[in-house]
Amino acid sequence: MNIRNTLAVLFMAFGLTLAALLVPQVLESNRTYTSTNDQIVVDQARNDVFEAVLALRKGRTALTLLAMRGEAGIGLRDDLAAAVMFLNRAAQTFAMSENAVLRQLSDPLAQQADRLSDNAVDFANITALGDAEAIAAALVMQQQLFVEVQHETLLVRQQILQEVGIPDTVMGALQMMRNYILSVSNALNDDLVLAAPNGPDGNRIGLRQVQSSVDRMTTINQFYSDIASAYRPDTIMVALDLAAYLDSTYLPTLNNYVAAVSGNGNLTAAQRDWATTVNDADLLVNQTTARLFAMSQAHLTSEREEARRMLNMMLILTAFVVVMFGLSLYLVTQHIVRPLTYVQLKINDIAAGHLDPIIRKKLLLRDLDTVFDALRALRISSRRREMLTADRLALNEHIVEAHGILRSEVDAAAKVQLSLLPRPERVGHIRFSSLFQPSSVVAGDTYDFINLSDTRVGLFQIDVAGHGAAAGLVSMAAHISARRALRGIKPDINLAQSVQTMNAHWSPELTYFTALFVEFDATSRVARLVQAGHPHPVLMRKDGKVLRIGQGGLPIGVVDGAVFDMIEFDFDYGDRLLVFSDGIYENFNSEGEIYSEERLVQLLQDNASCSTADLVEVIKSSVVSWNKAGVPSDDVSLVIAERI
Amino acid sequence: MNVPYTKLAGIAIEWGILMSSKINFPIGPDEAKRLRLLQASGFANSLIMPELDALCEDAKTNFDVKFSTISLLTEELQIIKAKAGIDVESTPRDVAFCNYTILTDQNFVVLDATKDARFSNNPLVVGNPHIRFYAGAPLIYVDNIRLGAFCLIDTAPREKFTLGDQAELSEYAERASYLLIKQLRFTA
Repeated sequence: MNIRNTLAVLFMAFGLTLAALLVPQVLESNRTYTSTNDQIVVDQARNDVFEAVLALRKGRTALTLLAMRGEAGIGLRDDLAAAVMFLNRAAQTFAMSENAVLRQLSDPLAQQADRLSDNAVDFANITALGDAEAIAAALVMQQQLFVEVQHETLLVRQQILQEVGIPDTVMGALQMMRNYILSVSNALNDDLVLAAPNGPDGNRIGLRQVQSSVDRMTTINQFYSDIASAYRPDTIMVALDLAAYLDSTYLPTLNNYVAAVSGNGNLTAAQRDWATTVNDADLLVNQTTARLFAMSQAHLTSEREEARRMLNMMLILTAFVVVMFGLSLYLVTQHIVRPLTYVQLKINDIAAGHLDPIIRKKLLLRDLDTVFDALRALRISSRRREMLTADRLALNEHIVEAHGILRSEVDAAAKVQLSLLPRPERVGHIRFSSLFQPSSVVAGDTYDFINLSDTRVGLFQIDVAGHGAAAGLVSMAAHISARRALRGIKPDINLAQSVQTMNAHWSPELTYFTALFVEFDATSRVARLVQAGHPHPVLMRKDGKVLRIGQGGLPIGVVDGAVFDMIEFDFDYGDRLLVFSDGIYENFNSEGEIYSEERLVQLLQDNASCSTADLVEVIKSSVVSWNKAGVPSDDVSLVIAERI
Repeated sequence: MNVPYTKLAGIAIEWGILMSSKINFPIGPDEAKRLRLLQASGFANSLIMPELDALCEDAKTNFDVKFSTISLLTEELQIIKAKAGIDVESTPRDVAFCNYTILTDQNFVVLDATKDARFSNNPLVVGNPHIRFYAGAPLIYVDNIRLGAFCLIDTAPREKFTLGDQAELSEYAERASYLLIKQLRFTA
């Protein structure tokens, strides 16, 4: 799973969680808003239904009074018109409702309104004819109709309550207030009939009837007090005028009437007062109903505004969350995922050796900026390594080529050097044997033996400081000089003097060297030796005696005017002179132990009886075996001169 | 040649000011050897190398700076061997920022020359070309010998010169050294 997929999954989960949290909230807010909006309309219809019920109740009272006294026709028409108007308006409101149950309530209400209208027309026609009996019958029918319509309307009111319910406690309190008003209105309408001067029983209204009215109204008002103790004052205050009037004026007036009926007071005056208060109370009922409606509408409008505010807030919050989510997604994609993908691509490129330039990007996140920067440094580092490798290979090629050239040149020099070395041979009365092992291709050691005259033979051996090509080239120059020095021996110039001349002529720019010069004289059976910093040679007598001879001396080329000593020693038949460079005994074995002159001398003493050829082999094997590598660290050269 | 006295006096005064205002700059321990090798290489002569100018142009674009130069430091002068964005052949040695660059094998960076006591009074800072930012990578010739520097110069200060920038600048210097040494082979 890569970063891109992981982030996609995380963002999806995050987005779904946010949606799960926000969408129900938004829907709930919207539902509350729509619901309060509906409640306002329902409340209007509910109020219309309520007003219709009140109008119908009043209409019934008017019909009763009309039947009693043949008056109040005007009141009846007003109440009827009001009831029809309220019922029709409620029917229209429900017809437009989105709630199917409420829509179904529209038709019954409209039917009731039509029944009232149709009947009113019939009633007006009958009244116009003036037939008292027919009018009386019609009044009864009309009354019956009002009862039925009121009953039907109350049923609709009940259905509204069941379907819509009471949204909150304020509306609950207001609903109870409506019920309270309805009860008061019913009681007042009943009382209005009772208080009518020409009532069904005339002035002979029973004490029990009036007392019943008192008890009924008292109970109703007690209901108001109960509500007042349970609900907020402002919802209850709406009916305070009415309740107070009933308490302070209506009930006392009614009690006066009770007292009058009992014989304590003027019955006619009391009955008139009662009728007046009934009308006043009825007016208060109307006012209270209107206030109640205004209050319920105001409350629901305020609730709707609150719901709208909540809905707006939720929508803004949702929009903000969506924008933030989108912004986060953009930032993560553009400023983290894309750069990381690029870094990954580039690292792979660098690992694969593709070192194209890295795009310079201005990144928002400092961490990634650092990674990009490090990537650029990494690329340069890889480029350098690539260039170094190319340089190294080019250099290797150059070295190989140069080495080949040098090697061929050195090989040529070695061939020249070897060509200067004489083969083992007899020269005059001396037989020369030799051993030559250069430590490098070209040696710093050289030697030669030459015939100086019929009776004299010359020998020299040279060891130039250092070894290798440079020492080899110097040794060749020294070889020529040494030959010249031996040939320079004249009756008046002895070997030592000739060597001194050679030393004087030796170029200071060339390396110094050690040398040993020997002049063998067959006539006098002696040999003369000049030692110039070279190891002391070994003289092996015919009888097996081994001695070191020589007096040391300075190497050639060290001191310009150096003087060299010459020694003369017997060199008779069978005597052997061993001349060697220091390389023969300054060899180190693998333990770092030097071969040493003592070991060499001991070897010679031990093998003094050997033939010269065997002696060379013994020395060779001893020196070679000492050095495990088989290659001496310095040039090894040995010349054995034997008098024959 | 007849030169009016006043002009002579003017020259004398100007020279005197120049001499007295000479800037001190650090000199590495191998300066004598460095000068000898530079002279022996012949790099400081007037031979124009278009590929070095192209390298400067590339660096100028890559680092988004006003000028880019390849400077070689002789005893008296800073020779501008190659350049981009500026047209100058040489400057006196004492005003050269590269004097500091050739002291070590590391890059030398001045983010804001006006805030660096070593350069705040430098004529190239207080006057034309009003250098504020300088980054130089030494042109390493042989061990401990740096003949000059690959320079990035701008008239606006910078807040940073990152490790990636340093690495890339070093590479430019190496490429410049490589081109110079390649030329040495051809002219040897």
